[in-house]
This record gives sequence, structure tokens and C-alpha cells, in this order.
Amino acid sequence: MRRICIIISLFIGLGVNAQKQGVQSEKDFYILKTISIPTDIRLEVGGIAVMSDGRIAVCTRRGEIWIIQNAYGNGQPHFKRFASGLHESLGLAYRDGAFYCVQRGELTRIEDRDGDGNADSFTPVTLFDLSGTYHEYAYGPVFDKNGDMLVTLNLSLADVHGKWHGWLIKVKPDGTIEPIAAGMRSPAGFNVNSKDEVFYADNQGDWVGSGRVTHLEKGDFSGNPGGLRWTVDPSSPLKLKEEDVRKVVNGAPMHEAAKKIKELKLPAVWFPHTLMGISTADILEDNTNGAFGPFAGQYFVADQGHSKIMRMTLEKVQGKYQGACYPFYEGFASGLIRLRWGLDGSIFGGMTSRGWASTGKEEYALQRLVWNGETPFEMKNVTALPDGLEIEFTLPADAAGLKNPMNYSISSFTYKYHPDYGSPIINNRARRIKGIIPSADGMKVKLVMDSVLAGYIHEIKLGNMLSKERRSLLHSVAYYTMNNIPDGAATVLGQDQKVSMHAGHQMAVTTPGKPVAPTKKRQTKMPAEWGQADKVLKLGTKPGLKYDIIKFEVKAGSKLRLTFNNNDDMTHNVVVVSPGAADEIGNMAINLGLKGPEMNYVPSSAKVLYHTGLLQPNSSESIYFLAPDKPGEYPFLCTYPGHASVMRGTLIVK
Amino acid sequence: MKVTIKPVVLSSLFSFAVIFAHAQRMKPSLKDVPLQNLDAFQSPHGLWQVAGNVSAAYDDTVLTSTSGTGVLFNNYNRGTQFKPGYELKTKVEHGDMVLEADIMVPRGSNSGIYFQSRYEVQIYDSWRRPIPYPSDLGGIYERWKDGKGYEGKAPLVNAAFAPGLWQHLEVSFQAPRFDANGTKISPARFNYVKLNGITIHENIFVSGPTRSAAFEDEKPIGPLLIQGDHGQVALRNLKWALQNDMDIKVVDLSYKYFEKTAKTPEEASRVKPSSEGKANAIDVRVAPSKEEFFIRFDGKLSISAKDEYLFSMFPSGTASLEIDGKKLIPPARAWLNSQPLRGTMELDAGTHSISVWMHKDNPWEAAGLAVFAERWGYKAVPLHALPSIPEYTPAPLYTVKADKRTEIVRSFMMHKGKKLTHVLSVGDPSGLHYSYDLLQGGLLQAWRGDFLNTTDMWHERGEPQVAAPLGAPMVLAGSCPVFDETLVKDSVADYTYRGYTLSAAGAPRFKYIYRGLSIVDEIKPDEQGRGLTRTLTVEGGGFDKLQLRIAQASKISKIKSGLYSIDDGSYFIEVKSGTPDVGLYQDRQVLLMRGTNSITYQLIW
Repeated sequence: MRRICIIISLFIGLGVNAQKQGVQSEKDFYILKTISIPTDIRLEVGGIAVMSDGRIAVCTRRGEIWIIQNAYGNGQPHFKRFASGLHESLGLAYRDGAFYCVQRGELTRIEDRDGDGNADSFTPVTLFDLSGTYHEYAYGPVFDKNGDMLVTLNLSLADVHGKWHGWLIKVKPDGTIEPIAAGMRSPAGFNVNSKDEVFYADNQGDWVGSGRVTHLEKGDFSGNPGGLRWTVDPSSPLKLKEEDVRKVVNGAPMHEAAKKIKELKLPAVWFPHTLMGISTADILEDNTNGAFGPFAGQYFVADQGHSKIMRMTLEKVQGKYQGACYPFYEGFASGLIRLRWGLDGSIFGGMTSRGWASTGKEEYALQRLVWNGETPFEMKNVTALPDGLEIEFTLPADAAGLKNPMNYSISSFTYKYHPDYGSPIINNRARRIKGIIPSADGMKVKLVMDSVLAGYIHEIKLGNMLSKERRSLLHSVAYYTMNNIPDGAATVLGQDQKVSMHAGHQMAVTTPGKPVAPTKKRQTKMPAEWGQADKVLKLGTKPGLKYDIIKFEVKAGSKLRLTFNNNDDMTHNVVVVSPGAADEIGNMAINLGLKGPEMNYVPSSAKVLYHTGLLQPNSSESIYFLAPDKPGEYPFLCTYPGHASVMRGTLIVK
Repeated sequence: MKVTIKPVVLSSLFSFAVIFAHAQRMKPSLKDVPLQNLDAFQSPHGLWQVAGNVSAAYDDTVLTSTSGTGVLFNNYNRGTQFKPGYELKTKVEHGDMVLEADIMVPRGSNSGIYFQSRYEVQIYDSWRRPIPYPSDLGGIYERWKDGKGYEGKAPLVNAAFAPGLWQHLEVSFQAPRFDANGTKISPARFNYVKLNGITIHENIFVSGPTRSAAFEDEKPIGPLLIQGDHGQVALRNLKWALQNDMDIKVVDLSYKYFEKTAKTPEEASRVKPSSEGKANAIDVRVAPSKEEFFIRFDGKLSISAKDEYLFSMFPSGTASLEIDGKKLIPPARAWLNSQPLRGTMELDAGTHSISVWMHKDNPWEAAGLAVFAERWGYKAVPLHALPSIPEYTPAPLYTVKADKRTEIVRSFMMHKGKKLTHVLSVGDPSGLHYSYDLLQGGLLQAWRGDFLNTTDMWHERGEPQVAAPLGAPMVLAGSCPVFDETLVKDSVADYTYRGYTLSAAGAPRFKYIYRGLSIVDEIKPDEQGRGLTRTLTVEGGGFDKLQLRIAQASKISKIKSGLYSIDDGSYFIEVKSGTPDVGLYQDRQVLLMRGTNSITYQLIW
């Protein structure tokens, strides 16, 4: 008995060591290659088209199409400007010798008729109506099986919208527009899969609590009612009006509203804001038959703000798609908006961050992600059971870890469906796991719960699990969107499969919206004995994840009032940290996971000196603190995920 | 594209402060200099006349005048020897001033406007000159010493149009300043000079009088002088505003600040202020919080002269201004970057009570409060402390050049105050560029010089998303050149855009369908650089029933065979083959061709 314990702890020790040594990182399985862009080209990528002769074409926000040779090689690539004069082109396709490209006001066929390598013919397939606000972007086209072109049109931010903005439309080769689905807000990424089904990604914003991917069928309404003004058109497949939506919406979750609004389509997969990404963009279906790793048939979803790719799995339950998202690969150079498969089963990533700062700091970039042939130990697929969830792994898991209840925690939460911008996490509660059923080959495990909550996102967190070959788990979290619960009998648990009530490191129940009591680090009332502050530091924001002031000089030990007025359109805080600790605190904040929002993304650390709460757009807070006694440069930063590396300033204590 | 919400008002705040960078940018209201006669001028020489109109072809060396009033015309004869006394001086002597005028010269002519009879803005036929010099139209002409010229400043760009066209000049001049001993303490300056809508000088100091000025000394005031001894020149719509220094100030000023405890003066009168005290000027900085607050200033307005006074207020919330208990500016919501709230009142010399209040109703809008007092003939005086307005840094300039090949940019574009959404701008290496409305096949504007300013498209999110010409725009009607005069009015529904092809040099050839007929529209720079040549062709013919509209304007005048002056000297149309008719359509004159399947004409400016 004693000997067994020693052996087990030895194994655990090995696992920990392996992790500590950083052996298992995303970079051990996928290689990110950068396509060097000539210095005189501003390649703010809007669209990518992969050509069958080995070239790739890129259209840009500055309205150019560049054709790149040697994009797959290791040497210097060759850039040739093929076309220009397009209006902020955010999508490109190549078919039968012609390019098809959206501009703000048009879907255009572009050809080189004389073969000199320069476009010489620009023919409108159809025009798009525009009201003249900058936010009316167009995306696509993506060809469906029939050869028709799918296009999505962004909503404007004003109360005027050009026709079919907020919609997915189908454009026939003769230019006829067939409206398909409404409810889109910012549909920058969409995809037609191998079954000719359309999935689109939307971004957090008004009516959209968090990023999400939705399966769109004709007549669907995906949530933002701005475009419903066009349902009066005779060709509209739905008649729903904005007032119909507003009548029933009361801040309850979307699945509740969907019971009253039959057109309202629930997302197949929610991508929880900041926990996965902050701005879902392009979607790719893995049709590489394994050339890109062990995820054939699954989906990859880009995130522009977090400069990364996430993974998505889908299944049909009760006739509707639902599924899970997982972290996959981060560290792209700029705002990752466009993904396309290369001819060799690698992914081309096209990027721009102008106007919307991203974790990758370049203004624009083009990179390629290549699998190196090694299989990471990952949650390959999470699927629903009538009374729980099943996890499938990419590699056989170590049997001991697989059945250890300490390795699993599940909590469920959702978002408000309301006209406001974004949503807090609501109804977050830990779920009790009552049974664990590993498969004999170690490839799967069933987690049986007391109950499963339809309509809720389920966070699955795994502990330090190892594969049979002692590989540590590359990513330990997945989010499963349980729109529907599959039919079937409750799982009968054997004695050794039952989990006692107190097992598991399940999360505490949190009450969203409850204000955090001021602590010493966040003192929002002036201490009575002060009389007045020695100095008032006023801080606001500038567009592009910036504070408006990046340097304050204060006297050591002086009484300070810091007023942070969040006049940005995103959520921010201000955290004053010890000299040199900005990176560390920023990283700790990202790792707070679901607990982040309730902690204002302020990690528990002695190096956090003072902080504000998490401020929604257009709100402000003052905190009172004494300047540190020790002179030095104290960084302050926003620890909201994705902001910490860029949104910074310095408190100079003299 | 990911997206976050941004209240429209918030985004536009970033561009507001241009107005405030200097108080003098508050454009004063201008008054016409009467040109029914020459009474405004000191004993004018007989060369100077009042005419009804003047005109010339672009290659004429003389202007032809018609009788009437409204146009100031120097009928200088080329054979005439230079003689002092040909110049025209105003009776009014000015210091600081803002002046605007339309000017016209015939081919090769030369004149100038001397501010205070000393500092010259050159008038010259500078049409098509690739590089402008101080001696070109709008140039600040050189000074003279030891037999040669020095200083002087060339325009930033050559914004000159063709001779025989009216050109618009705008100048803000600031006189030199002297101390009590008459020693100059600051030089004369041109705050700005704009020609044909384009800034050609900005904040340029002048060390002393120009060559051939009427005076060699410098004084606080002097008459405006128009040069009359080098060539013909005509002016119309001559307007000015003297910008003298006005004695007006607020004194005995106190403030009361209410942090979130009041929204209106009534509420404020019922609660104790969060803070109060004395203030030197209206100044939003007395508010410790810039979020939501009510603030009021009460004091005395000290005025040295009886006159009608205009008050302009730029608040960041709801605001009001009272003088002597009268609600001169009733409570209204406005923005720092929007049009100001305004009110006028006749005030006697002496002191008057003044009250200003503002309720800032949200935490995110930048806090600011500006109040200007104005009186005709005088510069606007800020009654606020200058830091009461937030600081602003302009965006860096983004441009597209068309130096080597034809460049095309598609964008939103402002045209006659309206934002158009499907506009192509075409830049040609010859330096002649144009914008084209794809939704109606219309030429919107044409210009010379550098190609396109894309700052508002490519800086940050590019929220206005409009491009703008880098040269002086010749703004055109922008309507479809094909129409059916039997129809009551034009309809874009009759028009279908069908794309464009590019020539080897990259020049577009537009195609569209008008009521079933296939039209090709080609626009090319004229080889001599005079303007654009446009060719409209109906492919396959069938044009008998429709008309080709060359121009539609309030006035179309035939200058000579084949040459027309459009909109009273705004631009020329030259038709080399065929004879167009001048007709009437929708209450405007229209230059049109009937019964032809192709037409080529030139747009000259």
C-alpha cells in the first residue's frame, strides 16, 4: 500500500515537472510561420483567396488585391498588386478564373482579361445599399454548393441602416438578392460547411451578450433586431419586427426569449467573452482529413481581439446544432480576422488591428499555421448525454487520472438577452458531478450530473490529467452550449463510478451583479481623516486600448484620488502594481477564468497595490490611496483580458 | 470585422477642437462691400468701373464687361504705361480683417490685394503652372532690397483655375502690433489664405511691406489696396469683417458647482453647492469632477461701447446664458463640436449682469465650456479661460499619390453637403483628377495637383469614411449625362451601373444602362492640361429618343462658337464637333445634344 502511494506521487511529480518545463505548449504541435510583407505595402487583410496554382490572393481594407507567390516556401515571397480602388474590401473568393470580392457598396467580379497580371475588368454582381456610416461593412462572398454567393452585411451603429444590413443574403450569379436570415450585428466570419450549411460568428455588443456561432437557416433571426426593419420587404422570409422582440425581452436569457419568439435562433456555441475570446471572426471547417492534426470534421474560429484561433465541435441534438468551444492556438501577430485553408492543409491567417486594438501588436500581418505531425493531448470533443457530458480525448488518458473526481469541475451560466451592450455572466452555479464513467480504452469519459440545464453554457474544467504516454493536457477548459438535452435513459452508475457529495474542486456559487465591497486596495470613499486629497489624477481613455494619460508624477506618500472615467466603448479597469510586475499581473488576470468578472479581473497578489472596479463603458469611479513610500516607477494597467499588454501607464513616485 | 459600440457623439468629439485651436477660427459674419458704385473707395482712377458682369474665353487676354452693378472691374489697357494712381484704395482703414472675394483675370493678367496697402496677396493668371511661386495666384509676394526680391511665400499648392473663371479667395489677415512707443512688437501675419476652397497659407508671418507697397513703414491700420497698373482684374462678392480688438470682459465672477445634485437652475437654488468660489473666467476646470454636474457662473459683463452683441456658446451638455435677466440663449443641448448656441442683444456701454449655466448629463463626454462674445467689426472674445476646452491633436495625414500610374480609390465622398456612398476617384499622373458617382454616372468634381486625402478613411476606424481632393475642387452637378427631356424629372431608377474596364494605363471606361441603352463613359485628362475630355457613346446606337446632357446649371452662356461658360463663370465646356442646344429642364438651363450616338466635350477650368 505504501509503495503504491509512492509510485503514484512519483507519477504526479513527473507530470508536474513536465508542465513546469513547458514541454507541452501549443508551439510543440503547430508552427506559426510569418509571411514577410514588403515595407511599402499596408496589407490590412480583409479577405484571402487560395489559388490552385500555389499563389494566394489577399484583399485589404485599403481596397487593394495582392497576389502572393511563394507563400508556402521559406524564402522571400513575391507580392504583385493585382487590383486597387475597392472600398474597404473584407472578403475575397476565386472561382473559374475570376475574383469575387465584396466592397462596402458592391459585390464585384474582377478579372484580368488580357492576361498581363493586372485586373482590367470590374463588374458589379450586385450593389449594396448604404446609409453612409462607417460601420456598414460587407463580408464574403462564400460560394455555396449551388454556385450562389453568400454575403453578410454589418449593422450601422446609427439608427439608419442600408437595406439588408444585419442580414445574411444570397446573391445569385445574375445579381438577384435572396434574403436568408436576419439578426446579425457584426457578422465578420461565416462559413458554408461540407453539408452546405451556414454558420456565422457574431461579436459581443448591443443585444449580443458574448461572442457566438449560430447556424443560420432561411427565416432565422439570430438576435439583434436592427435589421428587422427590412422584413417588410416582400422577399423577406420572416415577418418579425423589432417591436415584437422588444415587447418580450426583459433581460432573461436568450433561450427564455426563444420560447416566445419562434424565429429567434439560439447560438450553436457561445464563446464566453474574454474567457475564450473577445471578437469572434472567421470560421473554418477542418476538411483536411487529418493533414492539420487530429481534429478532422471540427471547426476553427478566429478571434480578432485576442489574435488567436479557437476550436469548435458541433453535434445535432433534437434536430438543432449545439456544441463546444476550446482554446486552440494563440500568439498571432495582429487582429486575426480571416482564415483560409492552404493547399497543404495549413491555415492562412489574415490580420488587421487598425481601430480595434488586438493582443498581437502589429497593425497588420499574414501568417500560416502548420501542424508538425505530433498529436497534442486535448479534449477532442465534448458531447451531451441525457444526464451529463461526455469528453473524448485525442490520446488515451491515464486511467488513474481519468477516474479521479478531483480532476473535474463543471459549472453552468448564461447571458442576458437585452438591448444593452454585452452582458454580465448570470446564473453561474457549480454543477454536481455524481458519476464518472471512463471508457476501457481511456479515450472517453462520461460525466454524469444531478441534472443538466437546457439553454445554459457548461464550463468543463479538467485538472492535471495525463495521457497514457505521460503527456500533460494542453488545454484544460471547454465550454459546451446545452441548447437541448438528448433523449435517453438516465445513466445507471456502478458503485465504483459514483462520486461522493464532497468530491471535486467545484466552484463556489457566485451572485452576479453584487457589488464588491471596497477593500483597502479599492477605497472608493475618501478616508474621513484626509480632509482632501493632495493630488487628483484624472484618467480617461483613447481609442485603441489606450489610457489618455500615460504618465503621472506624484510625491511619495501623498494622498491621491484617482478618477478613472471609462469613456471608451469597451470595459476597463485600472490596476496599480509594483514596479516591474505589469506582465505578471496581466497574465494572472487572464488565468482567473470564470472568476475573472466577479474579481474585476484583479488577481490576488501582493504586487497589486491599488485598483478600481471593472468599469462598463461610460462609467467612472474614483479610488483613494496613498502613493507608495518608495520612489520608483509603478505601472498601472487594465487587466481586462486582452488589454493588459497594451493598455498601460506609469505612476512615477518621487 | 469585430465591432464595438461607439456613440456617434462621442466619436465626433475627437474632431471638435479644430474650431477652438484659435479663437480666430470662429468665422465672423462678413458684410458686403457695396459695389453699386465706387463710393467705398478713395478717388478711384477712371480705369476702375462698376460692371454688371465680365467674361472671357480661357485664351482671351481681355475681359468683356456688360453694364450693370455688382462687379468691380479694372479695365486696364495693355498698352497703357504704368502710372501711380491706378491702384484702388478703400476709404476704410483696417487692422486685423477677414476678407473674401471672387476674382477674375483674363489670360496673362496680373494684380494684387495689398492688406493695409502694404502686404500683398498676389493675383495672377497661374493656370496650369505645375509649381507655384510667390508671384503666382494667392502667393505672398516678395519683399525687395538691394535690387532683388527676398522672403515671399509660394502657395502650398497651385489652386488656380483658368482665366475667365471666377475664383474664390479667402484671407484672414492680422496687423502688426506696436507698443506705446510705436516699436513693432509682433509682425503682420496671414492667419490663413484659401484659394478656391484650398488652404494655401496658414499662420505665415510677414517681416514688412511687400515690394511696390504704397508705404514702406508699418502702421496699426491702413486702407486695403487693389493693384491696378499691371493688368485687368475683376472682383465681385467682396465681403469683409474688420477684426478689431474689443473691450469686453467678465468681472466679479463667482461659480457654484453641484456634483450630481442638480440638473436645472431651479434644483440648484434648492440645494447647497458641492463647492463655490470666485473665478477669473468661465472655466470648466472649477468642476472637480468632469462627469455629471451642474455648474453656474454669475458675474458682470463690462462693455465699453453700445452695440449689438452676438454670444456663441459651445457647451458639453444643456446650457443657457442670461444677460440682465434676459434668457439670451434659452436652455438647449449642444456639443463642443456642434454648431454653437447663439443669441444677440443690443447692450449699452457699462456693466451688465451675466449668468451662464451648464448641466453635463453623462460621464463620458469630454467636459468643456466655451463662450464667445462678438460684435461686427471686432474679433470674437472668449469669455472663458482657454483650457476650459480640452486639448486636441489632429490625425496624421494619409494620402494616395498618382505620380506613376492611374490610381483609383473608392470611398464615401461629400458632394454639395451630402455624403455619397458609391464614389470612385480617379487620379492621373498628369495631375488632373476627378470623382465619379457610380450610382448615376455623374461627374462630381475635378481638380488639379495632388490626388487624394484618405485620412478620414484610413485613420483608426475611418469613421467619416470620406475621401477628399488634395487640390482645389471644381464642383460639378454630378447628375447622369443621359436623360429624357420628356420626363418630368430624372430618376436614378432609369440608370443601372454595369462596371468599368481599365485601359493599359489603368484609366477606367465606365459602362451603364440607361432606359435599355448601353452607354460607355470615358473621361481623360486633356493633353494640354486644360481639363478633362469626356466621351459618351451609345453602344449599338438607338439614341434618337434620348438626350445627352453636357451641363445643367442656373446659367449657361455662350462665350464663342463651341465654348460655354457654365454657372456664370464657374467652368467652361468646349464642344468641338456638333452644335449643342441650350434648353430648359427642371427650371435650370441645360446644355444638350439631341439625336447623336456619341459626343465628346471638354470640361475646362
